Amino acid sequence: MDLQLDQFLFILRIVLVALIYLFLIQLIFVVRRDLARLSSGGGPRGGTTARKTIGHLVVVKPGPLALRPGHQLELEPVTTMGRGPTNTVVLEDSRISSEHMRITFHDRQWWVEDLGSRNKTFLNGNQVPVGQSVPARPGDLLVLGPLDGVVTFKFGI
Amino acid sequence: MVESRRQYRWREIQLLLLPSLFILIGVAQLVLVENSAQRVSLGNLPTVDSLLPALGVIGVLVATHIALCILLPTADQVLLPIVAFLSSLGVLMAVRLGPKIPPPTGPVDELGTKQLVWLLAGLFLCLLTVVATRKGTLWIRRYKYTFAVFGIVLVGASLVRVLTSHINFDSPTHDELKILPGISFQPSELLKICLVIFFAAYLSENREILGEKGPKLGFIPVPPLKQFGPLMLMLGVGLIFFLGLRELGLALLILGIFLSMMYMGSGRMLYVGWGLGLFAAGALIGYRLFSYARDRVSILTVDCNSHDPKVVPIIQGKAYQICQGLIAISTGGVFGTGLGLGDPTNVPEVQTDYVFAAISEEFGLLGVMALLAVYIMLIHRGFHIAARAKTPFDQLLAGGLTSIFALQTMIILAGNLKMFPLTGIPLPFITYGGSSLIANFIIVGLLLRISATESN
Repeated sequence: MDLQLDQFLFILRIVLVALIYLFLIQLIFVVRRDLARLSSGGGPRGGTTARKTIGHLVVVKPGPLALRPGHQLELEPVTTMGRGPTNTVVLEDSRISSEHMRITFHDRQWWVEDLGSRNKTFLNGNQVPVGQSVPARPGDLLVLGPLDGVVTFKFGI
Repeated sequence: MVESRRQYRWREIQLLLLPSLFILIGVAQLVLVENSAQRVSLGNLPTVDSLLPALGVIGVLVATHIALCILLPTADQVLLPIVAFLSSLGVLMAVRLGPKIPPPTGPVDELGTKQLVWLLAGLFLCLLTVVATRKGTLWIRRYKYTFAVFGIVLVGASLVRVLTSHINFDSPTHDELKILPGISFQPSELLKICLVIFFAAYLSENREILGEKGPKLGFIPVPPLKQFGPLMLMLGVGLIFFLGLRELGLALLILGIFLSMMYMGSGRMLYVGWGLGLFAAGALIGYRLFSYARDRVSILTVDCNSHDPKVVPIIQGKAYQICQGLIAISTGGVFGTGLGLGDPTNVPEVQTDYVFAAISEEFGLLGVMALLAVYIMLIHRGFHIAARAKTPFDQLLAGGLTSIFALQTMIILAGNLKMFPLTGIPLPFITYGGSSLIANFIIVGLLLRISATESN
């Protein structure tokens, strides 16, 4: 089958532009699917509707967390914080111990406990004793780390 | 949640298919136009030899894909295909424009091959970046001052060279640093990355203070000076260097990066307001100081269709490039003349400053719209990676690096369309040139690493 050159080039020209658009459509399709997967499965809200939230911490000073001040961090019945990867809230900072502290909910109240951290935990300015739970009320200020703290939270209602 | 089927990057290879086909057909068309045989049959279809640039690009991309499967299987799979498309369009345009560049600088027959070599070097450095950050981006954050000093030393070297060799203060120069005979490098490309690293590290460590309410000067809130000082110092030094090098476009780019990163880090319009104020002041100083800057602004008001005897010498002289660029763009119309069938080499420096005009002449409005959409996808993907990054430093780094792409595209396109003074900023991945391609691929490497360590 022979074609005139200009006809052939005309076809190629259309094919070239069409290819850019096809690539674009493919891209949009992939990205859309990515976003759909994120909003249905990955987020903290989706998928886990059965679990009831029992309280939250308001971020005052985010430190190493990728959160803004004012962000609400949902608390679980047992929430651990520290540098180690197994903690509920992982705080990657050299001044935070690998298992720094624990917040638990029992007897209708929040309890704060230091797990023997090097740079201490403070509740309203008072040092939290190691291995002994102290009750915490909404509005209490929770500080982790030395001096004025690496991370600061406020107990929410 | 790492799924087992994410071990092989199927989506990436699928997405690489169309860009590969695109450059193959593009180069084939160029060969056909060149040979201009009257009839096309199975006998005189392009041979493998002439398709070499396209096959080279495809080979390099597949090799990178395989390397990423081994090095970083969980990294973002959309980023590489997007930049693959853009840089294969870059190689295609270099192949097309090289042999047609008029005598003073051209014809450069091997321009496409050169660009392919740069692409190879770029992808290699991209993988090298991925390997260098295999333990995370923490060390980059720790060495923030080292990066800042390194960038400034690089530009300082070329500043010294310019100041000792040029006496003419009214012409724009290009900061080139000769490494080896025949190979020169633009250190400012690396300075951009160094500055983004420094800004990201500094802002992520001080963002609480920057987010708070600072002191006030009367009614106007002022940024806290103690935390702001080092940043302003860095910015000032960067800008002074560029005023010395007379690359006002780069100064603008750095200021834009600084503003968007300040906003990303603090979330406050205050800094944007102050930055814009400083920019206005800087622009005024630049306008007063450099006659070439005044020229470029005054060219914006020139009517390229004018037959006024006062204006014609300007169109033939200072505004020649910009008017030829506009003519090239308008020749393309909606559907374009077809690849290899237009005449974009009338525009001086078409392979660097005006590659966009060449693309819009040959692919038309339809092609250019699609190209812009691909750029938007690139920027979307970059910010997507930034939003999902784990640490504030990674977030700011990814956001800042992405804004480099966004701002560069915007500045050069506005320049080509005569909406903004023309500057020597390259169009990311497409403009012919090694330094910018390599720097862009280092950025891609960093983004890939950040996307692999993202949360969830």
